[in-house]
Amino acid sequence: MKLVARTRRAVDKAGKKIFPDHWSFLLGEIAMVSLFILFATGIVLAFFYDASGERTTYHGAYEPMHGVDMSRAYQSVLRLSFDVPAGLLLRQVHHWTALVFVGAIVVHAVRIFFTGAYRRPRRLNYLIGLTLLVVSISNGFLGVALPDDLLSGTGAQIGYAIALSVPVLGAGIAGVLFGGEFPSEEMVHRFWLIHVFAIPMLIVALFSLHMLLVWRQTHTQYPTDGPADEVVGSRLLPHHAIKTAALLLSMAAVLVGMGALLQINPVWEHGPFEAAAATVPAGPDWYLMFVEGGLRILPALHLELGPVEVPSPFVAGIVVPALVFGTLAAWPFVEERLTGDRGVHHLLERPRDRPGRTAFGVAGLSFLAVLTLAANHDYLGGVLGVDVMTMTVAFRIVLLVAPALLGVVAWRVARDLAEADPAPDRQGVGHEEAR
Amino acid sequence: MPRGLRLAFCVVVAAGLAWFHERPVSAQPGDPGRHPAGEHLYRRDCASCHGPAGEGTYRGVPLTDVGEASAHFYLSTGRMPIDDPYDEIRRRDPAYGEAEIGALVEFVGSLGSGPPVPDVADDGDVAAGGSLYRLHCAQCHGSTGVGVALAAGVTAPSVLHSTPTQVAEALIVGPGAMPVFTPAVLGDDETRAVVAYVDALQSGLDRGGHAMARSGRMDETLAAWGVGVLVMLVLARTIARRR
Ligand code: HEC
Ligand code: HEC
Repeated sequence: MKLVARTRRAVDKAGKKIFPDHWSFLLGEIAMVSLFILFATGIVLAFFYDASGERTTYHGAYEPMHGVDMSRAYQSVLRLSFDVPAGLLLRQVHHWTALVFVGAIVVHAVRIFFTGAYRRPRRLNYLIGLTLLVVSISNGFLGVALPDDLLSGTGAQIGYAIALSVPVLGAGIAGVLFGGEFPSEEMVHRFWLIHVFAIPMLIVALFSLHMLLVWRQTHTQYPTDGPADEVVGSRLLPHHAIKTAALLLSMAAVLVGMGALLQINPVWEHGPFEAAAATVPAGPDWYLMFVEGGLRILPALHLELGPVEVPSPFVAGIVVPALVFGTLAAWPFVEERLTGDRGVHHLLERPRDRPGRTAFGVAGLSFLAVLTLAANHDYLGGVLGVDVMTMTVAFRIVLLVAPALLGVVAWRVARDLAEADPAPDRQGVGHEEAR
Repeated sequence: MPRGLRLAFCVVVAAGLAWFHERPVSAQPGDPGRHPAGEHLYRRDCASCHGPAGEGTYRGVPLTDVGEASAHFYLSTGRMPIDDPYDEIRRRDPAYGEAEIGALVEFVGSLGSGPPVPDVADDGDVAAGGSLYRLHCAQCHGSTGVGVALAAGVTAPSVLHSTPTQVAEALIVGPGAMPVFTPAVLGDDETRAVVAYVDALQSGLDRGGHAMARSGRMDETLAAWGVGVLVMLVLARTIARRR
């Protein structure tokens, strides 16, 4: 009885927690709900997946593959797709949700960035969020490779080449991660353990920490919503919980609808992975296209620094992602240096009120967008009737010009908008430190 | 009628008219008496580049030993004739009806020795064909058959519109940058298997909903953002306060 009463008191107290009402605060929740759906569908898929690179001959329901030699992993995915009731649907929902999940994290992060929500005291939570993004992208890469099909095998091969390109440590990293020299029968098993066990645990841990910090530090809010020393919004119970439930149900409906109506990753057409075969257009899921794009259009630098060799995938495969995420991680600290503003902030800023930050963000996003498009330069070339060499050169030029150009445009637009509509008067909005 | 409905009605009617208008009018096939003979057509449309006896000129390659297979492939896929030697050689609507193509093919065949139009029985082993296709063709045409731009100026076209005969001919002819698949590489059974697999790709391997443009990751990206993420944002705006 005492326990019941105590629980009740705790729930009552938690239920009074205030959540902001603006829709942009739901972006993170979209990612959270996607994560739930990924867990739910992933657990069911796991019952049918066979994480083995051992060879076998197919004799299942999909006739165009009868008698074909393949790994047990690939066979189990065919079985899941064609023999297990609703298996293909679940597979497709899982894959679509993974794409939307990372997309939602990115959109959420874009909101955080452009409104300056990462400033003190939330710098740590910003870094946790960024880590969640990197970890989620990694898990997507591993998950795509699990069916052991020709298309994802091409991707795994590129991943292997990138791992190998790390100076000095390359061979060791590649060997541990890919289970020996590529293609190794051991690979899917290792990927599987990391995909369903190691990384999900890490995600749960980081995400819990992420939420705990939001809870402790409270949400930020738009200056138009109220003074900084008071959180404005609705209570968790019942108002906000109803919103989250509505989001969960409607998102589940949309994602199941996508899984039912839109084909994704037809591994039965790509066929089982074979080292001698290849397919086009090949590429990773969207969130790694910026790496693939770099591999395609950046000049291939093969360096020899004394005894240390640096093969060409290193620049696009390691240096570019490290620069992207490193810059993002360093940004709050750099910005403090640049502006000299080391204060605590609970109120968000409009992008127009910080033209410098806005321009930097737009430039960075367009840099990534160009690389992402470049990952499809062969297919786009086919559509446009332009050969790949021309496409490569064109993309190189755009990669140099677009970020600078769009950055300047963003800066000017932000400045003009801010002039036309100055920032809300901050006088008397309360003390930012008070929360 | 409400305005929207009226507009939709007009669009449907216009689309219908356009469809009827664009349907090709074929030159009465199977009526050899009504069309000019192959030689006449050849003199008129081909000789200026390929020479009166198919010996070739500086504007076009010799046709003496390409055979009926090549002629049928180039004519039935609309690759020939072209107006200018530097025109892009690619699949188009054929310039002639079936009967005229038959006559021209026969004439080009008579210019020398060369492989005949292959006779492909539709009993190939689809599963074996799939493995062969992925090994020999997918690196250029893609596992889903969409094709991509390859190297400078070379595009591997989609194989999803080719007839079984054209597929078999492509293997014999090796058009443009495509390699010739000699009987040593793909024997009779294997050719039939590949042909059967390409046919299956065109008609029935889709499961799990709409295949979109079959470009794989590219479509999936567009759908993930254009449908997935976008709808999620709309949902969020619907559920929560907008401003
Ligand atoms: C404007 C010049 C031109 C005209 C007109 C033309 N061709 Fe060609 N044809 C070419 C060229 C150039 C090629 C080589 C194309 C290539 O790069 O594969 C060619 C290739 C061919 C081939 C493939 C030869 C091979 O190596 O297998 C055939 C068959 C052919 N032409 C038939 C015809 C026929 C039949 C006609 C008339 C209906 C015709 N061409 C009209 C220029 C021409
Ligand atoms: C090296 C790349 C390459 C390989 C390998 C290859 N092709 Fe091609 N294929 C091409 C190119 C390039 C063309 C277009 C040639 C042209 O139009 O001049 C083509 C054209 C074709 C066409 C004609 C399509 C149309 O537009 O009418 C068919 C059918 C075809 N290939 C089937 C195959 C099959 C089946 C295989 C495997 C046995 C194969 N190809 C292997 C590059 C390739």
